[in-house]
Amino acid sequence: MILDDVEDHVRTYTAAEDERLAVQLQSVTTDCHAGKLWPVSIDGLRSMHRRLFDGVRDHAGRFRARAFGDEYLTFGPNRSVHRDRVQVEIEQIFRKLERSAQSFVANPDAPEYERSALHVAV
Amino acid sequence: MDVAVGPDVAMRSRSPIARRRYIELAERAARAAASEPDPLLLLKTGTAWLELFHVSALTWEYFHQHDIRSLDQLQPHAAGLDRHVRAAFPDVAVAARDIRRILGEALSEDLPHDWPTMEWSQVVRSFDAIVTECPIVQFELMGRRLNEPHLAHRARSAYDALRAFVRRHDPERAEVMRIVGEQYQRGNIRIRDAARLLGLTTSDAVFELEQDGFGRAAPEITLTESERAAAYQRLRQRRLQRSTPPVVDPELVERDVIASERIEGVDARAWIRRR
Repeated sequence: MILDDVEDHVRTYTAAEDERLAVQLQSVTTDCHAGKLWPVSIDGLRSMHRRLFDGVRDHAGRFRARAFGDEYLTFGPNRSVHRDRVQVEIEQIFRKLERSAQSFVANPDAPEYERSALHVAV
Repeated sequence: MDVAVGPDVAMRSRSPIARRRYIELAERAARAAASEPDPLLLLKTGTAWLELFHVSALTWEYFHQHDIRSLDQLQPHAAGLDRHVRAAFPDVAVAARDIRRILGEALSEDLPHDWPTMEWSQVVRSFDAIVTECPIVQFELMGRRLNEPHLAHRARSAYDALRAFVRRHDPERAEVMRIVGEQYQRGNIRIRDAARLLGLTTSDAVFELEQDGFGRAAPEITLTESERAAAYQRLRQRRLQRSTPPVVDPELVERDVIASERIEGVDARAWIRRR
């Protein structure tokens, strides 16, 4: 078994990169709290990724795709889908997200509004 | 508590046989870049050792806190010890079978009926040595290579918990952190109160408490139905009363950034506050 070739090069950052990521995340989060990122969309997600990784990684603002990026990524105990499936899965998720969001946005006085919004967000 | 990871097993983890096996395994894992005939077994075994040492550290911590020096003295504390271990390691039962397997013949060794007063700093140092010897990066690489991220995550969680154990028993750290941490972990005080007692912001308090291993188990943070309803009601009132765009609270932004960065193992506090 050779381990050298599986080092997590995508998420191993220098201290300067870590700092830049933190500052850029702060900027994105501020806009999020100000309601500027609503409504969410695939382009919006791409834009957030670009802002976050700008100047840190060349793939800022780009989704993994066929022949681009790592085949899989690992997040804690979870593994991502294969890169060939990323675009399809994102479109599916956003279709579902838009349906869910429309249902509660259309009824702002409904007593279950907050519960539904939180459920969609999580 | 499950018999396989009861206090007797935790005590046996400090035997010379157990220690020798752990060191052998750690050395094997550290060399795994060359070649390893059964890397999955190596990863499973390494995870089991770390989880065993985690249980062991919690057990000795409880003995130390209650001045327990014999199995007879332990008897009336059995339920308390169980709560102490499960509060920090809720999935202890999942680890039981592999822990028993790695201990092997060490399980048949006679257990001392009582033990002399421990030099506590020596106990802490022994766990510190385990952390130092642990090839955690190699375990994580194996997890990715073998498509076993869940297993590698368990190893990392146990490793972080051991590191936190050593940190919270560092004599240099204030006793107040330990007292507040225990109360926070048991759900006896709110984070805002813990932060006030520690003289920290809420974000810093969560960070420092969790670094020292004072996280909260799911049952302690799960809201009751009435608490949940009240939280929804507060959100609702805020939304309906608002007629202008949301006002950004820099402290809440800071909290979210710090929490997100912590998931990646990064302490972002200095960078975002300096600005």
